[in-house]
Amino acid sequence: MDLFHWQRTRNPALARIAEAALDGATVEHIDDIPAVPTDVFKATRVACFELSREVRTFRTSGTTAEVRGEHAFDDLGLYTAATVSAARRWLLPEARYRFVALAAGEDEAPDSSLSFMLARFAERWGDGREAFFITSGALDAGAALRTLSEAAGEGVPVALLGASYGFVHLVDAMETTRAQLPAGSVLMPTGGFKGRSREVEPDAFHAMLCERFGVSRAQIVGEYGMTELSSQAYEAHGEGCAPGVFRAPPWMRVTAVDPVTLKRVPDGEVGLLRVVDLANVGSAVAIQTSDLGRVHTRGFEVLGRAPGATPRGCARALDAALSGR
Amino acid sequence: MSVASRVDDVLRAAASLGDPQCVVGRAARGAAITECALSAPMAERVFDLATARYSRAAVEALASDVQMGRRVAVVLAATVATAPLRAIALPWLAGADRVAVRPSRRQRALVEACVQAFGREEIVCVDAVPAEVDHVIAYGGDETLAQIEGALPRGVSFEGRGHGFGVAYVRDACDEAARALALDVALYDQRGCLSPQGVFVRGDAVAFARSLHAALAAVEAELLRGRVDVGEATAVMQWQGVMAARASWFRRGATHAVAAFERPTLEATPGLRNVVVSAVTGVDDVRAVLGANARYVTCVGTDETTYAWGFTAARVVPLGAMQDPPLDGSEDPRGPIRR
Repeated sequence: MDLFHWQRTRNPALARIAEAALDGATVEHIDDIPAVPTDVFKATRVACFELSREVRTFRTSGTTAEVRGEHAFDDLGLYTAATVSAARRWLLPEARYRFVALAAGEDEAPDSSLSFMLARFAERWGDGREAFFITSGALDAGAALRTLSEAAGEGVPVALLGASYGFVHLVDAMETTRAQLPAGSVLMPTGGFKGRSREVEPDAFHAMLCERFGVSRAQIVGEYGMTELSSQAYEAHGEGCAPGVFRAPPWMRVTAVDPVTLKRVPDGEVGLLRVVDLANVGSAVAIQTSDLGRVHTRGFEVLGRAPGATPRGCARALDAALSGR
Repeated sequence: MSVASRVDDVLRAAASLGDPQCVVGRAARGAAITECALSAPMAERVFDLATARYSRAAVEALASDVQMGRRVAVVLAATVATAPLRAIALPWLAGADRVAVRPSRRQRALVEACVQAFGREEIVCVDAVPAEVDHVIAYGGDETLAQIEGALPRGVSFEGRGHGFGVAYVRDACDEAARALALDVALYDQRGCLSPQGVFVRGDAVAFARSLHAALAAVEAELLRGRVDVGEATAVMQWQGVMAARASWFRRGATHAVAAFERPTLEATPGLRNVVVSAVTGVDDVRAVLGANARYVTCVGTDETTYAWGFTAARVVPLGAMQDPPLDGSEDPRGPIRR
């Protein structure tokens, strides 16, 4: 609540959203904090500091024709601490890993929050070898597979991490072969396929990864994060959670809200996920996503992005007209 | 078959659909609720409003012989609940030998009710455009129309009617104008091609937006907004957030939202009673901000005199009458695509 009030006085976009939402009312509870919808990051700057103080801006993925969301930072220390701390608990419990990141490196993708996060992981847990296997937008599957094979030969646990579509491309490159990753290895696919690979249903996707990399489902750790946040939640296999149930670190609170009223729905009911992230100091502490999910006492499930609006009338969508479609 | 007989068919169909006690009238209202997501009071209101236009004189004025003896297929896209009646009536009044109507896959029951209202074996509801057809009338977005036209065999003539949107221009901003405009916005839950998507106000846009916000809240009680699915609700949530962050003034009601900009702007909206009011100095600002999109404007609701709207083919009507067009008006201000 204190962070929200502090941000409200420094962040013009949040101030306007709060004024419209509260209309003079006070915030009595954390659920009352007006959440900033993710699209706002595409439309305007959501920051509590001057442009001159920006040290890094992360952008949402998208084509050049699409408007991309921007999340600016004036300090990446807290982001790094939050992301490393959560990963230590749920993703990377071993001391060292051979990293195979199915992502571009920070140099090539300085605006990718995923690349930033994986680079910090590689710094903290890596063994000093090349970790990133996407260059100029293309996966070097041969090099990635050689690295996996070498790690298997040496018995070094592997951290195979990256976008879900990258995993599909890697599996496709393996053709009919299989890998047997060493004990302690982890796989972390994140995000959807975004039209960049063939689509694979979640259960089939996980079964495919288990079969092709010789790992158990408990070694595949789903991550829930997004450019607009500074923290991540993970599948918490080691804490008795069922597959598909995510847990958030103590400074990140995930609830589900009714899509129409934006009021919190009871645990167990499906709603749009709303995230309060105390590490989002320089932007907005409460973020309203378009992801459908369900919150339980032990964690939350992510059921995917809300579907597009159903056409029920004959109004020509103005966005179609304005974009020339 | 005589023209008089066809006129009688249309009048009978309209009367049936307008009668909530009649089987097809009940069916159409039910479909308007389930398939068009209107509330029950809204379904009642729009059928009352639409069928009241079907006077003998208005229907006779639509009669012609341009489709005389021809087999016509009508391909409907998702549409407002009262539009299929007119889409069927037009080719029938133009002398068609047979009218086969292919509904949107989401509005089958609505169209079946409208077809049944005619009670003629020559007017049928179909799953696909029949192989033996002379003329196709299609409704939908530009891409859909192009696909339908491209798939037609040689020798079949085509008439495409595209989608559009309405705008409002308020010269003398006052509460009365806001109340009238609120009705234009609320009817069909802003899903129709006549529904105002952009509101241009001469003078203080924020003050008018406040009045419109209050008027929409008042309309809510009488004309409940219909069901909103999760995809629509999510689009509305995101849009409202963006408007709250960008607009000079923004307020959200239980089932509506109003954003105000103190400069001329044309913003996309998700419909469902979400409106952008922008300040202009006059009609020239509206013309400039619409630009090439003026060709999509179906209807202008205004308290300005009509002469000022020469730059668009849109129907110009008083505020509060945007959803009550005469039967002979075209839905598509660009005129039908013909070949």
